[in-house]
Amino acid sequence: MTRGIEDELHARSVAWLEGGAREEPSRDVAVHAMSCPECATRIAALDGLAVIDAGLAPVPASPSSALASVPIMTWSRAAVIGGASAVIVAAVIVGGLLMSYAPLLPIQQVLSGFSRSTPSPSLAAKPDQSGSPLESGPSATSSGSAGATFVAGPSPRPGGFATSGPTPFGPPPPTVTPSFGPTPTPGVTIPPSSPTPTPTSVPTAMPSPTPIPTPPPTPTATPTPSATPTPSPTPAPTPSPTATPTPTVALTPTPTPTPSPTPTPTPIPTPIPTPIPTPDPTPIPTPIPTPDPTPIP
Amino acid sequence: MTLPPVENALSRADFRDVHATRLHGFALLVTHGDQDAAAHLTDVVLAAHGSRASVTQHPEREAAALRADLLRRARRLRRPPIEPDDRAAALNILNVDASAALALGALDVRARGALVAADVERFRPEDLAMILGTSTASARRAVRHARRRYMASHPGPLPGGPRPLRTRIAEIVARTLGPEEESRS
Repeated sequence: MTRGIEDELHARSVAWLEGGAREEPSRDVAVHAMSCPECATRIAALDGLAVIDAGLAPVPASPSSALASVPIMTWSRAAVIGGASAVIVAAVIVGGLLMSYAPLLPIQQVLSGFSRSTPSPSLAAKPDQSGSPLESGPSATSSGSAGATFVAGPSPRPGGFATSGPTPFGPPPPTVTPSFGPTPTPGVTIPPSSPTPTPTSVPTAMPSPTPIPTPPPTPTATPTPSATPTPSPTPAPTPSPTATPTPTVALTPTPTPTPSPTPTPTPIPTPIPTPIPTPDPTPIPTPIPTPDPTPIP
Repeated sequence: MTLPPVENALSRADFRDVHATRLHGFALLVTHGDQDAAAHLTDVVLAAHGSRASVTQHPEREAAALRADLLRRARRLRRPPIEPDDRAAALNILNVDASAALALGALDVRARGALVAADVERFRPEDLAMILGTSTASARRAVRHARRRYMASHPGPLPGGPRPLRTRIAEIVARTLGPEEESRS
């Protein structure tokens, strides 16, 4: 009986002490705590904490010295971070190498070839045209030279005229032109437009017959061929591109005139048939009046 | 509202003056007398929180936040063992007797932090919860568990020295039993 009461008092005393001994203990618990050696140890432990004063600590040492002696990170963490960094750097390097040496996909080749070639042909054509008859093209309204120039403008774009000969010329240009029509407009479109804004389409058709006589120019056109495959399938588009260019030409009329003449000759045959009907009548007359002013100077 | 640079600098200095000493004492206890680690932790934590001095919350809440950050960093810190004399010297400054130092050494960093915050710095349960990064109930349990382990590791009362709790209990006993019984016990 007495033993049970003692155990209960001890349990309550221990619970009170382990609870921090903040509140006032009951009298029996206090009496037990004073007489129990085990509780006396607990009381002494709490007394040891109670006398500690964290405010007695000195002002912390200078940061530099403290930082110097304390490791910022463990070796294992440093190894993990270093390994991750190395992997990332290696991935970047390898990726860069692959990107630089990887062969281009067909579509990439086509795209890059066009983007690069488009300007060059136009540039090449411009000199030729300018060299030959910038003025003659437009003024020539005469189907001859003017027509040639126009046709040449579109045809060079295909870039792959090369060996295919006359027939292929027509088709290839259109295929390319449509896709690049918008961006490279200056390169390709300019030549055709240069002759004369609106009439451009008409001349193309007209010249086609005339250019035949002027085979010599064909060689000049040959440079472009290499790129052009034999995509003859898009003959129909050919006209459309030429038509589209016209508007663009209107935007940049002046530069165009020269380039058209040189390249045009060969492609003439194919395109001729379709465009001829409509343009012939109207354009011819119109250009004549317009060119008059330009050629005069 | 953004304070001007000068006032901001002053507030940071005040912030450090107010918190540095006691935070350093807390760090010395948590690191069990590792003075270099305590100084480093104190400086890092004060630097991290000092930038927010202009928007400081209640000082006691801010003190709890500082200790929470310090305790989190201290738990991640790996340090080689220090010389017993250095530890004793560092802890003696804070009135830590040998028995208490021995018992504190039996606890891990988190338990030491919980016990010191509760029984040395007397933080309220809500602040203890912030320091330990838990709920209030969990903080109470953590403190109780740490106290139990600390008491189990304590070697017993040392002769002499202040005994505030024992004195208080003796007063209660004297009121209960009377002067004769108290003197007899």
